[in-house]
Amino acid sequence: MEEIKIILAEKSYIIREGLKKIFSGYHSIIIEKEITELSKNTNVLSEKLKYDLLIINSDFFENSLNVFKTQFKKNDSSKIVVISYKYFDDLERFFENYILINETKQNIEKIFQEIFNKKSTGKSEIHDEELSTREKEILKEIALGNTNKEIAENLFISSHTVITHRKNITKKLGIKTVSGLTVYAILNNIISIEEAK
Amino acid sequence: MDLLKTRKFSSIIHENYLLTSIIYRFGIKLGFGDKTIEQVCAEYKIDSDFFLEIIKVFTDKNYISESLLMNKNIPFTIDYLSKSHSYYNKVKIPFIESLINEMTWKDEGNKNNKEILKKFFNNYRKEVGEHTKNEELVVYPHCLDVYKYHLKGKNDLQLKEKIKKYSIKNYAEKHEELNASLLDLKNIIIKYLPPPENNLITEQILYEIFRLEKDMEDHTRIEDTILVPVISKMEQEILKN
Repeated sequence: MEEIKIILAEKSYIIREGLKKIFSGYHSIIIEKEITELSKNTNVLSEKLKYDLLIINSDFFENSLNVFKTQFKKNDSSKIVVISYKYFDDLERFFENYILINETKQNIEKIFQEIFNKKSTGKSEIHDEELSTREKEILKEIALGNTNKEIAENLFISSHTVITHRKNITKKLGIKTVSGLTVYAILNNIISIEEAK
Repeated sequence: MDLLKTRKFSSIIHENYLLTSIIYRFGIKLGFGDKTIEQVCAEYKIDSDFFLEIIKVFTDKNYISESLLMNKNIPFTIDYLSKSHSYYNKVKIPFIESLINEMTWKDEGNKNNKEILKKFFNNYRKEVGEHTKNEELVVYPHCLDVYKYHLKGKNDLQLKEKIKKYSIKNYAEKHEELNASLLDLKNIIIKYLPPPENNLITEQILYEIFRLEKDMEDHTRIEDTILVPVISKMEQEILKN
């Protein structure tokens, strides 16, 4: 595996050390630079620093998400992982990869594994994996027209978990919209055509 | 593409047959013999400079049209964008719909496929319809208002208030959803739909979807890189007066 240079923009010492601990399991990862000051934020973005992956806490651009967005064109979004203390809609909308602070070990490993796989193969991973049983359950709920909150209540899980599952389903299937997912669910007998509204 | 008004109209189609969809929405019909671009445009009462700029934008996605960024061309641009809307709503989308209608499957287990696809596409049609209707009824009239008052240099308090509440920049973001539906449809057809008996139909549908997608990208690009910045600048200038 090729070397992966990472820039870590994170104010919290605890989180920085935590991430380094996680990365210590990968030989090819080099933490190129750590950025801890808010004021240096703009420099990260404008300087042509060389890196393969920027890990940045959302509190670095809380008030200037638009500025941040425009500086990174869409193509670069795979080079960013946003760490956030809480979920907000723009996270999902603008960033391909994000990690919530209370994310499980499994999910974090999965996210990084995927990013690193993409880097080493130079293209996005082919998701020929089957949906898991849980994901099928979620897909069924989506196709029945339920909202994230309703799905969370029906399956006794948190809304965040629902969102994570949805993201994974979309990645695996290549289908994003509710009506697209509904078509998939009917074609694969996950729900019947009568059940779909 | 090297484009001079004195070039034969037929030659630009030979060079890029996809331009047929552009000339269609300008109302230009094939069969132009050896007429030049200028002659054909004059015949259809189209500003040939503007026409050529649109062709260039359509052919090269990195082309930055200085001319379309000039204030005076805004009404032409808006008119073109509206024409594209009706091309999508009245020509392309119904055509894809009719192709979906022609799909057939042999075995019983697949009898619902057509209905499912039709329903999905019908949703998409409605989404596009609503999106374009909103642009026609709200966004474009707003742009034309701004254009007119900017031209007159008149101090219009009502418009100023309106701009403060509702600037062109508020509109710009909603295209992603429409695009997502087309992407989904491509994947459904490519990956998940059991192939119908008449495979040629699937090929045609896919081809039309890819073209529609590309066309809408160009359309959005004109809105985002020409209409929005030009109108936004006018708005700022009106507010300063």
